[in-house]
Amino acid sequence: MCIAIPARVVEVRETGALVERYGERLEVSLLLLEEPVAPGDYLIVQARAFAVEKIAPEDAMEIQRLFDAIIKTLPSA
Amino acid sequence: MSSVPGAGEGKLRIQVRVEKGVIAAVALASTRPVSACSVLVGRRLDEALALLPRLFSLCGVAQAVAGLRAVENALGLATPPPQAAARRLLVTAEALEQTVWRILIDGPRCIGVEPALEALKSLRRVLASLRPLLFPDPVWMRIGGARLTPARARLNAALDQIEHSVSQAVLGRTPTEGSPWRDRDAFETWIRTSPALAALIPRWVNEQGLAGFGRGAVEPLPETDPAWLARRLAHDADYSFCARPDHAGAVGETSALARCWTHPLIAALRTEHGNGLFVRLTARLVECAALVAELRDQARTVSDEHPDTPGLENTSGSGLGIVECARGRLVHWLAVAEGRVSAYRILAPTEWNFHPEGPLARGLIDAPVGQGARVRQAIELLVMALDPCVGFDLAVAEH
Repeated sequence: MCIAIPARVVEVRETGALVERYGERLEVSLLLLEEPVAPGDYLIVQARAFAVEKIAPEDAMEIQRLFDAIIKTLPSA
Repeated sequence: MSSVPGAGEGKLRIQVRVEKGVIAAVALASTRPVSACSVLVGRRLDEALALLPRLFSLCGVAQAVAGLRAVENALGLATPPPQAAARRLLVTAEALEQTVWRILIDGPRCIGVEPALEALKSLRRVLASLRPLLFPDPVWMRIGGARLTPARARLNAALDQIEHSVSQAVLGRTPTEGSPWRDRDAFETWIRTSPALAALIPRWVNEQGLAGFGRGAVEPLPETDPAWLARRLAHDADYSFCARPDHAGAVGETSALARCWTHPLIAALRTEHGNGLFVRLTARLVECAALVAELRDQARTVSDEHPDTPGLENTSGSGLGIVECARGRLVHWLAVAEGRVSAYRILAPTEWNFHPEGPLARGLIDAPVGQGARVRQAIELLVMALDPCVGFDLAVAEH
């Protein structure tokens, strides 16, 4: 189903970034991105390893609200 | 935002027990939120369609097109052929990007080889240029079709560049040198001798004695009767069919291999290796070339079009949208009441391929796999070849 929750950039490193989503931190590569990235930006991450798209903060917030709603419907929530 | 580590996207849990070098037990479980599409219920149709590629952004084009088809079918709107071709072209471009990703990134990572990130990046750049060459407006997923003005010369130039990039990056040769799969002998020679990453992984699989690893009795999912599928999805209020689908009680495979099942090279290789790893990896290469050809075919069909926007107020009905995407057959179904979504279901290919009775589980059970680090490598390659749309945890217990 290819769901991807936007991840917020916490720290930019040499070729990658530390990102966070729902309290989970991941080290991701930025090598597939065309545009520069700064702390506070929002990224779509594929395979928990590669940032594939930078998205506008307002779009990231909208998607996160949707995921908040989805998580509430899950059995373990 | 709540703090739920790993929540939302879900993942596959694969547990394997190995006894004396043979896989003796396999357990597959998924926490993928198959009911995620329920957040679309109650929304206007155009609003729901706009959300689809954002929610399911890793194959957002395929999701958007499946949703569009479902909506148009629900409203009794015929999709004009140029629109269908332009949408198909974009779905194919997305499938090509994902297919090349498996070949240049995931395969090498599985066997500890440096992935070809720069090659994928340059291909992604030219694939991303296609959409504005077809649809001049950013919102291309309009019900009934969006303004379509193909920039033919630039489109053809982009397709030339894509063909060249794929040929160089995947096969290590120019398009004029042709494909290495004219026949089985030529292909096996290429696998043994080419420095291309696409040859390296199948060669490693052969050298490790894993060519037939993962072969099982699961057949490709047959064409499904749309009316039957629509009925199953309409009655699937608890999403149990979406989570564990079946077709007449059986589980089928929907994947690159399923699509290439009767290709002469694949059919020849299946006689020796079944649907094991070597054939799966080869099918992805064959599909890569087929996707490039599909881009050309669709580009020939697109033409200028300025469709009218249909009225959407107070519409009702239900409809199905089926799209072949990188990972297999993606199905959307929705019901519409008074212009809003009243029910939504998505049946994704991962639910067939990673079903507890599906090709991964059936392929692993009783498979000779050896011991130690090779066990994990072999299973990870097989999972990569079957290509789930979520991450996975693999636990291996050896006795």
